[in-house]
Amino acid sequence: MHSVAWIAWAAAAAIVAMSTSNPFYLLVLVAAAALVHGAHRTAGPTARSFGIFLVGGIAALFLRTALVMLGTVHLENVIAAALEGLRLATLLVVAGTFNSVADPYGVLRLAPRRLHEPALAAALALSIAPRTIAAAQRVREAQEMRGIRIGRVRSVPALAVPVLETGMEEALMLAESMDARGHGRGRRTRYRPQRWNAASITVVASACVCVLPFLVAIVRGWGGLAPSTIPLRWPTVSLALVVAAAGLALPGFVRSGTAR
Amino acid sequence: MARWLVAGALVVAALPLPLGVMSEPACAATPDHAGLVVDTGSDSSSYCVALPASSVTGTDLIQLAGEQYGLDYRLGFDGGGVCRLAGVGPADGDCFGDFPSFWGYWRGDGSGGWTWSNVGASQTTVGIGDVDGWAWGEGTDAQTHPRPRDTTFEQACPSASPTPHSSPSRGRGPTRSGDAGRRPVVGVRSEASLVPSASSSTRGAAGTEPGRSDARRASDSRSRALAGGALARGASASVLASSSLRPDAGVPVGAYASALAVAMLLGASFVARRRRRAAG
Repeated sequence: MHSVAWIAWAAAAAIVAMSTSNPFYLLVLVAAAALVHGAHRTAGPTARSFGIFLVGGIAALFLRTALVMLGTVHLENVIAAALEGLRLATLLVVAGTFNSVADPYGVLRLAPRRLHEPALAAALALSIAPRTIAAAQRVREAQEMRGIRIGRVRSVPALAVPVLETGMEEALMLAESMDARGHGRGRRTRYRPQRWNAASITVVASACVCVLPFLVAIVRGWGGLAPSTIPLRWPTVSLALVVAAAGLALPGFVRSGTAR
Repeated sequence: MARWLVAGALVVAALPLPLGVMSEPACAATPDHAGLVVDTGSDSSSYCVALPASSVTGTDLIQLAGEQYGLDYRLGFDGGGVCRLAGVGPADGDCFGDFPSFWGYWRGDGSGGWTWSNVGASQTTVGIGDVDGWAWGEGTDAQTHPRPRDTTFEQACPSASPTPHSSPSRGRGPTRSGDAGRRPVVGVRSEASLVPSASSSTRGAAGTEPGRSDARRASDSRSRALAGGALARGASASVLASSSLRPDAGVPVGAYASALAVAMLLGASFVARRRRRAAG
């Protein structure tokens, strides 16, 4: 799958998630992201970032709701906070899905030559979560083989120090290898260019088509994007927008192909 | 962020209002006004509020009445609810403090009657010539909640001058509306001093001094309104801007479609996961 296809999908899903606090659209989007992850996650350890972002999203949802408890607690307040938290959780799930299906270095290679250095920084920042997760997993396994059980507070240094060290080493290694290949000097060649195939085009097209009804709904103000919580009302749910949100699962039904 | 922008815009929009009221005692004609009726259960006051734009929200109308007439109010739920009006209701921002009683929100139907509002005051549009009504009491729907006194726009804005009118509701208390009607219109400042007397049981003592200064009225109105609310209602009372507590019954087809889509997508992702595991 072409990296641009995943960028288009993630952008569409993020726009949908940010446009609404209606749980009937957000939950469909989360399920669509789960399907895309299930069908396309990469073989490497970065695929774990979906689960970790999902846990983080659920934590954010509960934390946002718990903040209400500091003030006056009423059903309306709690539901308003929970819907905001759900939107945040959905965004995190979309980010986790993007991390787990897209190759961060493939994304990096898309940047135009002049913008390469800022793009490199952005790609490193984007990929820092999956790389740290992978490093932590490796260190954990290694320490367990040495008989050090990670899990107690006292053993945190045994995990944290090697993880930080590995992150530093990886960054240096990446910088050296990119320098050796002429990155940032304007004489880079394209190695194994990513190919556009039918699957990639399908993903881009479906993302564009699915985000359209939401953009129209934002401009026109229909579809119950922001359900009223004060007073508490049963939200309006537009069938068209449910179908559009479910359409973002379409990448889960196409074969990714061999070209990457 | 947006809330600060809105608040800033409101402050900027409201800045010229006190100046305009003070420099032009006999305000412009009624076409750019809207009526606001506040019925605490023992007293009913109506305000002819000058609008800075062709339409405002129901919450804006209350804030404008506060600026123009010193109406005592308190909003809650990030400006989405009305906790306290004319000294009745809790002052601490907890609009649900004494739930069975709350401020019910009614919209004028154009002929003096009232229609129960289905949305909160921050989501309604009040145009020129409209009348909004607030009634304190129990009951969560149009059948059980008390209604304000029937008021047309012409009754709320009888002359060219915006003037608060005080009148007893439900037959309690001495008649005041005739009194206010006979008074010559001498300007907003002197008439505005009637406002506290409408909600306070210390009527007459303060309300009939035409020469009271604006500054003193502003500083006094809140404390006297507080005292009036305490006298009329007891210490704590709670008000709700929303007209309904419970969502409407009936689940629309879109919600079923959404639940079905979630179930199907999760099922498909489970299948996809198993297929991948079997393949490699």
